[in-house]
Amino acid sequence: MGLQENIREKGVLGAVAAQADDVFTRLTAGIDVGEFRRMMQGEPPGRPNPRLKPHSEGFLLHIKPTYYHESVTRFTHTYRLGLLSTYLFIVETITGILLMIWYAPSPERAYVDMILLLTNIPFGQFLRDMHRLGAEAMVAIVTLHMVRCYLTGSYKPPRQFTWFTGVLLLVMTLFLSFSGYLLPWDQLAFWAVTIGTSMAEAVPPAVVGETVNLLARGAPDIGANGLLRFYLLHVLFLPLLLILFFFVHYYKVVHFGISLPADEEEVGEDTANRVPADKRVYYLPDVLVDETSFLTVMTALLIVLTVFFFQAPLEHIANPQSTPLHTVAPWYFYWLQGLLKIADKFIAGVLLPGVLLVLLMAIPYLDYNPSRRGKDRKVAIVAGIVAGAVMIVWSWMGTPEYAVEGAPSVEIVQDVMPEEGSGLSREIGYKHLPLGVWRTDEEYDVHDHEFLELMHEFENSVDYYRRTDPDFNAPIGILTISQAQPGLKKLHWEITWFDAEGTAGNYEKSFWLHEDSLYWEQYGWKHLFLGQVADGWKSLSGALVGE
Amino acid sequence: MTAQPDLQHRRNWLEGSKSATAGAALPTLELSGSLAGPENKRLSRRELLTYVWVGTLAAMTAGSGLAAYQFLYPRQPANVFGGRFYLGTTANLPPIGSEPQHHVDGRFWLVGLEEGPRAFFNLCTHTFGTRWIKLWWDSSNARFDCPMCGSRFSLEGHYITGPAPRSLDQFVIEIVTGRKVVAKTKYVENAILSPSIPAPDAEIVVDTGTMIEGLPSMSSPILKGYRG
Repeated sequence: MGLQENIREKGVLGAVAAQADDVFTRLTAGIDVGEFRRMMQGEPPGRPNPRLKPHSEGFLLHIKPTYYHESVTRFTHTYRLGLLSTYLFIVETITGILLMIWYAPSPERAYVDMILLLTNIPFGQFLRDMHRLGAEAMVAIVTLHMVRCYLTGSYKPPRQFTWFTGVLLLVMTLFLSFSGYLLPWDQLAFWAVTIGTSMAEAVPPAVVGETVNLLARGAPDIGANGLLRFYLLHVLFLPLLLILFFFVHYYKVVHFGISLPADEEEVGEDTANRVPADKRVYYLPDVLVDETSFLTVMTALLIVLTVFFFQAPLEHIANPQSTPLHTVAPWYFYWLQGLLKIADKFIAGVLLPGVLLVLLMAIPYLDYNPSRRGKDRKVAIVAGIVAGAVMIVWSWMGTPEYAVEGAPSVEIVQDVMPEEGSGLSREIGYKHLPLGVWRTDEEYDVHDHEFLELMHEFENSVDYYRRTDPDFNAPIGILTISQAQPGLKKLHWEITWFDAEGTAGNYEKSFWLHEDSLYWEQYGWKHLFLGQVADGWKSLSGALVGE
Repeated sequence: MTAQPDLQHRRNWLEGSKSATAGAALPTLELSGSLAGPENKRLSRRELLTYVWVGTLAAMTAGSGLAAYQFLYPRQPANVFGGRFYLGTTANLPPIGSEPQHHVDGRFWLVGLEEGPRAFFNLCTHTFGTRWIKLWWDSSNARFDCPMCGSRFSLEGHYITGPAPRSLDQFVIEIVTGRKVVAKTKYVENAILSPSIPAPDAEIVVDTGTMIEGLPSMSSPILKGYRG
């Protein structure tokens, strides 16, 4: 209909309204304003359902199912973990691309760029913190997603290949997170990646291991080439690979449908794709509103956590000549580091992880039990729980708690003021460190709660090693705090002791702390949660022993 | 609605049992023509709440857009053209009446004058913005020459001759004592005033990000001198 005719028939306002409606319908790929309002008001769709049009006509929704079984839309069936993983990947992509703007992958610039980002760029620290938090969360959520699928037996036919691609996605997530580790070019990055890549060296025969390592690092040790290669892996290769496999995975999810709760169908049957008309929950608008509001809450949560409770660590600039005490891999590789402490490099670093990975991918092909019901799967569920427990023990063995013990004096200072990271003395902050000489064998009339807590921890630590180490007798810890420069305090730690034969020992270490250091953020985090748990435990145990 | 009881229950929960509260106090959204939409023209509670949170989402997105703009905006480092140049104490200023100091990186000439220091942008005001022609210092005649258009300016930056429309443009000079700006170049009614120097140990900073345009050629005191 021509414009003039239109206006003659409907009037100017009417014609404009009709035009607006037309534009709206084009943008939504088939939903006009009236239908949109009916959706918003919760009216049922007409027949045939006009709300299926965006799925068939629009690109964005063509991959989403038009309706779900009512049972799988329950939050407690999936916990929306797959959606959350995808969402975190998008968060990582957005924050990552923004961070690339202020980052150049060269050893000369990378660390300086980090400092610049944290000090001179609006929202720079926020984006870095969010990127880091999102990465750690993504590893955790993807793992939880896998655990959920394992416990509900969702890997069983016909979804074996979906599980297989899911394991590949887990591996890619781990490598994505790990490859990002090196980019800040600080001590944490350098040594965590050194540990990680040296595992590849264990691949036999020796020439293969060395070649793999050379290809990954671009040189015998990590330097400019290694940084560039890890950067390209992190920003280009792995994300593209992950996107590809995400679509393979998600296609399978949509193709077979989300598996129903096990007790809603017969053993060995799969009825996820045969949804009775009365059980259908349509994507438009119910599931869409559900998912969007869920992700809105998650975004708000992510922002609050990033702003108030999380600070991505940045240690000193990478120094290939000095390995810091208690160097660790990222937490999701603790289990590997734990294994490496007790077994041969080849067995722990290559064979066992390889076997575990193949086993994990092969679970659906090995588990011939057709039932997905918990009571029929006692062996599988117990085996899963045992495997989880073993992973936790291995992970604990990967922490410095296990089998990495320095001299008592070194450990004591590391405890209150580690070489890298924060430690209590940095966390309480500049203003809670009064000038003077403070000894663990004296009492002080100081009214600074934070400082007293530090001294208490110092005393406890000294006392612990006095009790447990026969070569550490009558120890005294001395903390001397002096003003090194305006706005800069020097903390000088000194430990004296006698060994079993009565020979005196002495250990000294100095650190400096600036007025504007921001370690207190981590202190706040610890106090809000761990502190309250500890206080609660103290008062509970106090009540029990009748104090 | 013809849905089954459990689904009905779910819908009711999502809608906050619409039937009981259907728009008692909510405004009516009346639209004519094909925008009329559903039979129920009242804004239901569910509809209103959806609009509110979608609106909040839009506001949040706009906020992130603003944050992204700030994040993307180039940082101006010190001692690079466009930023501040830290030139040490005012004792480093060229002596009054001596040759101007050429700061190539900062693209300015620093001049010591009776009335105080000035930092002249080293571009001819005639070609400024088009050809970026750099001025030469003609030491035998004590004046700035434009090698392209032939305009000339005195040591004080005043227009002498040539097609240039203005006397030389200048950058703001800040005099800083103890992180505080105590004086800076200012433009007041038809005059550009140099900052006064309180003590020789004050720091001198040239802000190449803030330029004051030179006065029109016709108001140059040198021309007035000729006329007078």
